[in-house]
Amino acid sequence: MSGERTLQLGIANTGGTPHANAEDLVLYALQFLSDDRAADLADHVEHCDRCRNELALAQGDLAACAFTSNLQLPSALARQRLRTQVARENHPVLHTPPALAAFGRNGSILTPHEDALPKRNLALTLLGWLGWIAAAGLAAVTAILYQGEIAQRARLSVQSNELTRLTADAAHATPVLDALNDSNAMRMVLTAKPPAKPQPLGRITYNPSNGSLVFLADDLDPLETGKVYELWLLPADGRGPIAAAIFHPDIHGNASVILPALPTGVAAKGFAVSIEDDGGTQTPTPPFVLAGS
Amino acid sequence: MDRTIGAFDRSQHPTADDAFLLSLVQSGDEQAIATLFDRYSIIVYSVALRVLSDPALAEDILQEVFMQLWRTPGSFTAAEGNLGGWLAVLSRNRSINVLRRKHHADPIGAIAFATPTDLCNEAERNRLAERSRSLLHQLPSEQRKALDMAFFDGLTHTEIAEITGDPVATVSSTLHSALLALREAVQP
Repeated sequence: MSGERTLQLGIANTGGTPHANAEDLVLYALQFLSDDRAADLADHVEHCDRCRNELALAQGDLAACAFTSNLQLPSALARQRLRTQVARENHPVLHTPPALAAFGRNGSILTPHEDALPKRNLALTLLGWLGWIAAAGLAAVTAILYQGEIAQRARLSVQSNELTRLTADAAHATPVLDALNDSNAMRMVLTAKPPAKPQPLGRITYNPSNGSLVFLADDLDPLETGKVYELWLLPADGRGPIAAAIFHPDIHGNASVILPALPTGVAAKGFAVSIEDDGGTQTPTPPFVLAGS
Repeated sequence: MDRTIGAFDRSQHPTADDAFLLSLVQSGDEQAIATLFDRYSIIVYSVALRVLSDPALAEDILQEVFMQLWRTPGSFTAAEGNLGGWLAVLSRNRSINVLRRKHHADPIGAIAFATPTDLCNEAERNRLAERSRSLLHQLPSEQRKALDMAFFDGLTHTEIAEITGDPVATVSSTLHSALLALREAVQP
């Protein structure tokens, strides 16, 4: 290696032996050097064990860097594609001696194979080129057809999946329609449970000192013909019930008794309502439909 | 010549080492290349996908890389125990070329790789991935970004310097330091 090249490469001089700069070796491995610089470095590395080892380490570092990728599997089709292509190229193998590799441009290493091709005469060379051109054309056509086939398979796969889905949907819909249209089927309408009938409720305001009384009742059941409701005052001193008034509810079950004629000064322990014959009675007929104390 | 000769049972065994499988590929064993595909397609595809962000293009790179292995297996024998690393970096380089729309011929060759990890072994591959990722998160931000831009985005040290505003020499040094840190982290 010439000294001029050494300077161009920026090779460090260590202990009298020029070596490539480690950073340049990294750039070389990354294929970032210009063609000229890469060629110079390749020449040097080819003859320098130390730099060759350093380059190997840099390549190993790049391999480690490659493994930082998020690993993702290629499609299953990729494997089949390779196997198909491999089967197509079923040709004799060129055995290349591995130990005699030479460094090429851009960080690659040329095999001696490429440098030792036999010289041919012009006619043979032209014939050879025509053969290669024909082969390249055929390969291009094959590639186009192959790509078309792959695309067609992909479309077919998508359509097949869609057809499968639609078939499944249709299979599910058929028994539903059959059930709906079955003439032997029983049909009924279900509704929410009706609310419970409101219970009769009476409210009394009574002042024993003057015997004033106001009674309001709701949700009373309608009465049979000839029947009335009768309001009773239950005296606190244990005497028998005192009839306060008779009344009829309206069609909504509402009724009221306003200031009936009652004796004054009678303390009440409670009130009650009974159902009596029309006109009322002086003694209540059990049971009381309303009672309170 | 029938390349399917020499189909030994070990070629179908997932633990067969790379050198053995490569020798079978050289003799035309289709099952051997399939076994290598099963072993390394995930890293080759993942790297290409990371660079290209396009599953279809990444699968094209995957196909190219393994067809290269099938067509010229002899060129890979020097990689031997580090075939996985070789394929991963080859996938990165091919993908970067696609990204940069480079069409120059990529000479087939066996780049020597020095890594303490036996990538034939799935557990070792997982360990390498785990340690590398862990280290990446621990790197100083400028180192991590520089490495990311250089390795996965294919930006050269000059382009990275333009983006970050740092001197080119600083970027080169940053990349070197990041890779050295990565090297230390993956030591067994």
